[in-house]
Amino acid sequence: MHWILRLVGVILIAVLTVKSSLGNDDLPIVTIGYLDLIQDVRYEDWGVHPVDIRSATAIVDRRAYAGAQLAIDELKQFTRIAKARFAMQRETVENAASMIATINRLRESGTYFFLMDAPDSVVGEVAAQTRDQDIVLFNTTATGDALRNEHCQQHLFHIAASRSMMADAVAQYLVSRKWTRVLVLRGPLPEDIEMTRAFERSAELFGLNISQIRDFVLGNDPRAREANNLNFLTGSAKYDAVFVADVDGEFSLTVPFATQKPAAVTGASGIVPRVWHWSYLRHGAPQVHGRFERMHGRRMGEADWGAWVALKTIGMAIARAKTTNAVEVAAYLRSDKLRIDGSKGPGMSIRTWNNQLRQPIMLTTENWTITRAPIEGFKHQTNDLDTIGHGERDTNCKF
Amino acid sequence: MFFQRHILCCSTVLSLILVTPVFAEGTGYIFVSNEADNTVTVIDGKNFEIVKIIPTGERPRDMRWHKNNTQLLIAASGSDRIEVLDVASLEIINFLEAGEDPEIFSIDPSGKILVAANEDDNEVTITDPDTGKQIRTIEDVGIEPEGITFRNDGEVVFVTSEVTNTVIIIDPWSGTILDEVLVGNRPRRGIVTPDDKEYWVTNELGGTISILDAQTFELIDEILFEKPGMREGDINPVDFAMTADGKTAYITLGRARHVAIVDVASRDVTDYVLAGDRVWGAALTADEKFLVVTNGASDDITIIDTIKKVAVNSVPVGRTPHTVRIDD
Repeated sequence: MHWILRLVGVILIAVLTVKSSLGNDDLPIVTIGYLDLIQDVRYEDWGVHPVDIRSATAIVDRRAYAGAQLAIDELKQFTRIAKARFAMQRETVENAASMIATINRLRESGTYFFLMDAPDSVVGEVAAQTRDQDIVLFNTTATGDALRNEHCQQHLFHIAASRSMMADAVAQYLVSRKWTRVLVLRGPLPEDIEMTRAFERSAELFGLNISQIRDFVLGNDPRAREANNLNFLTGSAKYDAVFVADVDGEFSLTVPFATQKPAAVTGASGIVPRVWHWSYLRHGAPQVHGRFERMHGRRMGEADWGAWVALKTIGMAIARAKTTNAVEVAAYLRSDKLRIDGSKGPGMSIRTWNNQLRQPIMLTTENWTITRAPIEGFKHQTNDLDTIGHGERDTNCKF
Repeated sequence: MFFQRHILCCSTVLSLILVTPVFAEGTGYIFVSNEADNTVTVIDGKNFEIVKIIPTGERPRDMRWHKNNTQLLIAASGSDRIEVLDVASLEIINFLEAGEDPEIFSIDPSGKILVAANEDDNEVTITDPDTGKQIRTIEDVGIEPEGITFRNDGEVVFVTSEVTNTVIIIDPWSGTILDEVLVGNRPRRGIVTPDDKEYWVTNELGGTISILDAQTFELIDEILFEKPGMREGDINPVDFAMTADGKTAYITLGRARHVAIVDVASRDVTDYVLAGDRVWGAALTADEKFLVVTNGASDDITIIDTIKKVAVNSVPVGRTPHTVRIDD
């Protein structure tokens, strides 16, 4: 009788061990805070087509949260190997101050990882005010170069590509096409000035010749025709390509096929650098699009991709580093062991000098991915991905 | 002098062509699935002429022999089915159900069950390859499951999950998941050594191979491919071929345009042989003197002499050639 009991006991233990090694109920829960703003001009105004502004049906929610939702669903499949369950808590707040307060509150309840979908100024302020905390922030959409240079923070990781990376991608493409004389049309917003500055840096780096920088304004006033009329804006200059710095996006719609000389248009319209575009057909990208579209019924945009990759990075880092401790995970992110698969080609990793995700940039039209930068032939001594964006030698970031 | 050199050059080419046809037995045909053309190209292994271009369902990808090489099963991913090609008549004679979007599949050594990866549904579907009836599906096999490899004893299947970077080991007969192991980045295809001791899996993004103990499922080793002139990001190992004695493995390296030759026992990479762009599918001839690989980005196949370790011929096929199988 005893041996039967013992046998039952052994079987029971065996069953329990198998169950606990594969079961999920006793695993720790890693909660990731998702922070965005109630009002965000980047979604409400920028890049919205004038027709869509009047339309009741064409306005769609383009927020990065959709990408995070896809990722959190996928992270269920990471449970067995990460030995953790993943949850997400979204907090949509008014401004940087309330975002900081939210982080402090969530940190108290054991949340150490945060995704931020906010513009440069908010990301910069939140990161500066939380720098002494044992948390990790992921910037999914802010593109400013200052965040990666003078305003960098050790606990802030940039999944979004910087303006310099975008400008370098365009410059490499123009050089590869031998369209080396470039006319720049610059918008009035601070972001346009910064984008132009980034492009000037790229032009110098890759040997483009900026024939002129001309400021444009939106409008029809004949007295300001030098600045609002494309005949004047693109006349009497020598160029092979026109680079448009226009974060608002309305003016740039009018530029392709409307320049005085037959020239490629790039920047905010025409050949647009993007971290992600639905038209890409390789490296498993169609599978990611498919999953996103089935979940949300729309195309997957750049912001969605940023949030998706950020969460995937957290999940894979926890699995590989075998820890849920945020400080240890951050150290793993900066190590040379990390490779993130963003379904756009080469394995991605983090630049240790400014916490920027090194990644390919897509050069796209409205419905096609022409190529990816780094463009073939642009070589770097350690990693070709570092031919785009600030390198170790020209960064101003000091952690 | 010029004339002499000219003769020399051509005689070399001729001798290469004369050396190549050793495709004995069977029909001697090479079958290549063209993913973007919805066709299978049939090439005569003796003279490398195209025998037939067979229209298939959409996105033909993996192909496997069935019933002693009298049937070639073709996964038509876009048409959600596996098509049965009669090798004698070169006609498609039947369709099998294998879940949605079957990509890579495998048949157990006894020929009773077919296991297919359904990439979009994160599932594995098990089908009777003779009746075409679906037996069961296994869910929860990572994200974008791809490689399907039977252990030679037929008892377990190794499934790779491209997104979770894991190998999921399943018992296809009971439909249970036995284990899951973290390997390199973007694991694609696997192969089990003939002695059933090791399971090798290519990690496309990591440029490596992870080796598991095929019995205990523990990660025991890793092989890193590196060669001066090849960039890390270009080394994308995908498919395998292994000699029957289990001594030599051939691994296609994708954008690096090379095939790596590995000594299985020592894990040493002994050679890198030049092939076409995005080389991925691979198959050995029965005599193991030639390796045929598909080049996904240059729309052709390369024939490699395994003794001289050099490419001896290339043959244009359809767009995006995926898998190659040889009937010899």
